[in-house]
Amino acid sequence: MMKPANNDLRTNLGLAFALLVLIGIAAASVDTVNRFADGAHWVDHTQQVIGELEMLTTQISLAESGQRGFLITNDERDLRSYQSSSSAIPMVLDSLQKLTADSPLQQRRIANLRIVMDRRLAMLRIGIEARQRGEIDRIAERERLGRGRELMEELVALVGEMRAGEDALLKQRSAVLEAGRIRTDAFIVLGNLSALGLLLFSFGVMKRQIAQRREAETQLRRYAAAVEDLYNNAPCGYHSLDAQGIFVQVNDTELKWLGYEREDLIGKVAFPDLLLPDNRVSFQENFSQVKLGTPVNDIEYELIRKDGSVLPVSLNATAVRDEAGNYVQSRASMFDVTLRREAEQRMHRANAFLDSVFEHIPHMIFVKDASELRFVRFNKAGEDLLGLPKGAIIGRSDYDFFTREQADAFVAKDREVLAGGKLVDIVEEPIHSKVMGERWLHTKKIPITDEAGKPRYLLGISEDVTDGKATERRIIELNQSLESQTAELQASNRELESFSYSVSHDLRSPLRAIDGFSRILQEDHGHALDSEGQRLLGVIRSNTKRMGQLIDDLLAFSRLGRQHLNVTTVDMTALAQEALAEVNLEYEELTPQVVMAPLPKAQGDPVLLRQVWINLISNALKYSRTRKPPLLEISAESNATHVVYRVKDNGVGFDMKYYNKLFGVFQRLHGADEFPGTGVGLAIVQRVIARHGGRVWGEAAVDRGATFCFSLSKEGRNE
Amino acid sequence: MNDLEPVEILLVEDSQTDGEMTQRALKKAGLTNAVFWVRDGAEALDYLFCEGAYADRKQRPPKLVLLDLKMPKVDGIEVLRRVKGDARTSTIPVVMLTSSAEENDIVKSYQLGVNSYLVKPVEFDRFVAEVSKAGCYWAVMNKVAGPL
Repeated sequence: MMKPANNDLRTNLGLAFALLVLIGIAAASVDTVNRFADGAHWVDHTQQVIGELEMLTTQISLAESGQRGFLITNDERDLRSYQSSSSAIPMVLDSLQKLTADSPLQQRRIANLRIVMDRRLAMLRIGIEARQRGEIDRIAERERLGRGRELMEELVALVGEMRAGEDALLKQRSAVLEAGRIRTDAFIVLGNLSALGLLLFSFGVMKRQIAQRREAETQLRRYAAAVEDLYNNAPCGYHSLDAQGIFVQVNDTELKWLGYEREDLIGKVAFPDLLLPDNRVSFQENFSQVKLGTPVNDIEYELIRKDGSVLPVSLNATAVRDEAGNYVQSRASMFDVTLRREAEQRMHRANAFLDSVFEHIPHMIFVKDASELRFVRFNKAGEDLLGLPKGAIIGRSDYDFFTREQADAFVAKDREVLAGGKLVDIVEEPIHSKVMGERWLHTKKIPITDEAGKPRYLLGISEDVTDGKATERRIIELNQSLESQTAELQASNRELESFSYSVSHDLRSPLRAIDGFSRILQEDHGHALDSEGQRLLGVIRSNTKRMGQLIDDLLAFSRLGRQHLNVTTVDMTALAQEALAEVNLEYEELTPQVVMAPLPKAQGDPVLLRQVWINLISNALKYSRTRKPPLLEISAESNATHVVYRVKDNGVGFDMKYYNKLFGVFQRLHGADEFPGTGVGLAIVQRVIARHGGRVWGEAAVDRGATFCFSLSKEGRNE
Repeated sequence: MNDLEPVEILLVEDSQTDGEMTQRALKKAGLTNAVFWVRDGAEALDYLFCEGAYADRKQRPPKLVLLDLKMPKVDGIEVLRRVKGDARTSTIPVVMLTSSAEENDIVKSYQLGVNSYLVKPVEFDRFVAEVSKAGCYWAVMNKVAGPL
């Protein structure tokens, strides 16, 4: 964009130049007109000269003819004609001399003309004078006539020269005039053209200037709108107050914060009326200060919104003055400090919370400054341990409380922590407490650094492990004793298992022999035995069969002790149903009524848990087979940690006074004739559940059914 | 026993009564004449590899070995290991006939390449049934490859 001043200058110069050119053209036109007038004068002048020359010729002819007439007639009239013409001639010559004063050539010619004219007149006069005297001399007259003819010719030639001279002069002057006219015409045309050009140029420049001025005005309006927008939508509140404190200007942001419309406030409401009452005195002081010329900064006020809620703000204000320095209005900006206040409150609460935590942690916590290692903070547990109030500890160092050696040791450790920049765990350190005597502490010392990583504080957390140490010793002793007992127990278990295993094996062989040979005896020598002998053989064989069953059960039971537990998540509902189906095959003749709720899943070995269900369900059906119909109820209930599974029947039950025999191997509460069995089923149940970390129990009354329960931990148990 | 008579089944059994009962069971299945009974593992190995007292044995190897597990001197597991580990005898079917239903013994036997594992039932009728079934199957029905 061109500078307006520059543009103006160019326009003015253009216009001035165009004006000058036009003035020049006018002057040139005047000059030309003058010259034309001059030229016309010269044509007149030439015509005049020619007229005078003709007059001269006429006069001399008149003079001659007058003279000749007189000579012939001697008449006085002719003489007068001669006399008037000859007296007119010198006057004509004078007139000519005057007219041609500008041309030396014509002047010379006039001088010659005068001489010739004088001679001719003189000759005429001689003839007249002679006639007057009466002399008639023909010869002399003839001679004079000849001579006069010569002079006339000479005169005519001279007049002709003069005319030609005058014509040439006229021509020359006309040519000069014509050349001047052409120059002037060219000058006028070119001048007008250049003036037109300059005017067009100036016009263009002016047009551009107008456009620029319009653009500048538009920009100015936009700028004003932008400023207003900035004012209204600034992230802070703006307002101005008159000398009475009444709103004269306020921006949209502040209105939005306060919930008022602009017309609610402007000219109507004084700012202090929007303040909480206890802010008003402070406002009046600050407002007076602003009016006197000192701006105020970061003043905090609580404003009351239209809806009655409180808006905390931080305010800056200054005064706007006129040229004379008089107060016009204030100009204030303010920020919403709600979030900051909330953050401060949160921080305050967090600090209070941390202080409370710090204070109530049951271990001694202390903070020392990194340079001099003096205590700056100390908690309640620390006070109790040292037997001193905080006031006696803060600002002091270890040397004020402990022996020199002990303090040296503590300080050395402190320095190590601060230099190393990381936590040091002192598992045990002795300390002498005035009130509690010799104590053992487990202390962690932690360096607290500033932003630059330089240690500023040392944080110490000390747990009194004096009691723990004693307990620990006791635990170690107990553990050792337990370990040796466990080892003994494991050894004896192994012996017992290998014993029962080999016994079971070794027992089977002779048993097989007894059965086998009884059979051989029956087959080969049966005919030699009577019916009693046959019966006895039958008794032998049924007992060996029973013994075989006992041994198999014993083997199964002993195997449980050695088998590895494969713990997974077990669907107990499905498992119990499978077991029920399997047991039902055995008791086909019964049509028990079974109630079974969905059972929670368990963590355990599915093979072993299946055996548990089989044994419990089989027991329940076995002892209720005399009922019509047998009732069987399978259910479960769980608490936070365990699930209890339950199998209930309506069978013969048992007497609770024999409860202690219930889960023993080969222990039975009923006769084998009444209810067959080897007495291993519940022992197996108990062993399986015990290996899962659970518990088995039962409740019953004679003839009133029995309920067996087992509990399993929800987490299961891995061996 | 005729030395030239072909032995179909080698019974390795230290128990007199079990041996007798086994023989009876085999007899019931019609396999009487072809059974040769040795009393321990050492003797079984001598027999199978024609060593010691059996250095001059002329018969073909047996079609089936019925092997007890717990025996004096060399036990059944060791016999099985040697038989299955030797190219001369590895194709002979070996059936364990034992009182032990222990998982360990069963797994070990199958690892060593036993063809069948039978637990001797205490009841005689079932015992007879098991032994005769095994004898018939392995000694008569089953086709084996010749010695490698």
